[in-house]
Amino acid sequence: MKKIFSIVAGIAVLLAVSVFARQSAGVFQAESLKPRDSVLRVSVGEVAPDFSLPSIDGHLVTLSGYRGKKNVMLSFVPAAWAPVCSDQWAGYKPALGLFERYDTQLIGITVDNLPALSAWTEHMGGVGFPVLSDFWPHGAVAERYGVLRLDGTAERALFLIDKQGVIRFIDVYDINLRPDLADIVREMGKLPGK
Amino acid sequence: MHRIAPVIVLLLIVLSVAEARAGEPFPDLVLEGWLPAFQREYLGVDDDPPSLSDIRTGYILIEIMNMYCSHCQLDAPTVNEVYQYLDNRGYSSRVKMVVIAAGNSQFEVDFFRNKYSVPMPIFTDQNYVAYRAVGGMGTPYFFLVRKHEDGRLESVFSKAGHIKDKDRFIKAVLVAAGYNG
Repeated sequence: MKKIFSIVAGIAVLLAVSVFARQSAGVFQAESLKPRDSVLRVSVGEVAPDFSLPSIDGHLVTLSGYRGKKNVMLSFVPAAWAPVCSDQWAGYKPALGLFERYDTQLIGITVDNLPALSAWTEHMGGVGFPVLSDFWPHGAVAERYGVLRLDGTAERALFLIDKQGVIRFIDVYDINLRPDLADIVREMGKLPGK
Repeated sequence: MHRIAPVIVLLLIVLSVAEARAGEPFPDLVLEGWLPAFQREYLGVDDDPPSLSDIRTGYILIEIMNMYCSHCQLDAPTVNEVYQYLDNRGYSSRVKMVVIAAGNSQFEVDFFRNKYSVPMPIFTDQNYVAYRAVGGMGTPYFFLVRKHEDGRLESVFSKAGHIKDKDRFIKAVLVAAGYNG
């Protein structure tokens, strides 16, 4: 009797875990949030504030290091393991050729610490672009750009910076929605020399 | 027995959740987005935008996906092979295949179509209307929908998640479409 009980219980637990895993896919299911909760502190035409942040591959990445070499698209997302964020960066992976076409380096930034970012991006099978941690001082770069929300997460925001370090495009999206790839490609197409 | 009863109840609940969609009525989704002429011909649709029930077939195999979903990206070659199998073996006269891209714009759909050389029709569902209408499950998600002669649609098979065993998946679809194993 105990054996039957163990087998049936085992099957039930496995099926329950299977159904749960399919529905959650390891991603936190968040409720709808206030679309925007910060005030921009930079604008198009300004030189982008410089920063250095640690990346998940162990390097320190400095924005001005790209000056004269590459355009840069900064993609701030609210938090690791959040559903829309997990979608957004995973979707950029097959589209990296589009960024290369416009000589643009995509850089992802969140306010999470490196271990959390590392585990999250590994869960996505890697993302193929530098992922930086703006964890400490908490959200300092997000704050400097004006995309740090009152709850300590970042906005879902894009900043396109040209090879001279000048901001050419800013969009702070509704945090609950994913930016359309078409908008990104359109704006990269407007960069000088394109 | 009193110890085993709650476990059996749990087992039944879990099984019912996993198979809840088979046999249920299926919504007559409006299919948005641009299609090349040969794909309109494949589906036999003239209206713009067509609905599922406009597709000239007895069964419609639907994949709900999202170009941003890494499982959908990884699954794309296998899904293409399923379409090729159905088409090459003559099943496409009875089973048509469509993809609905939840939350994706036309640009994103076109990108996915080109990136993964997707041969079957992909429709946009930028505002998640179709996605929500079929239950808002995680992607990819597959449905086989039977179109009755009176136009009524019925889900006869569903599968959550990517296709782990292509042959088994095809067999399950064909059996659900009335072909003998």
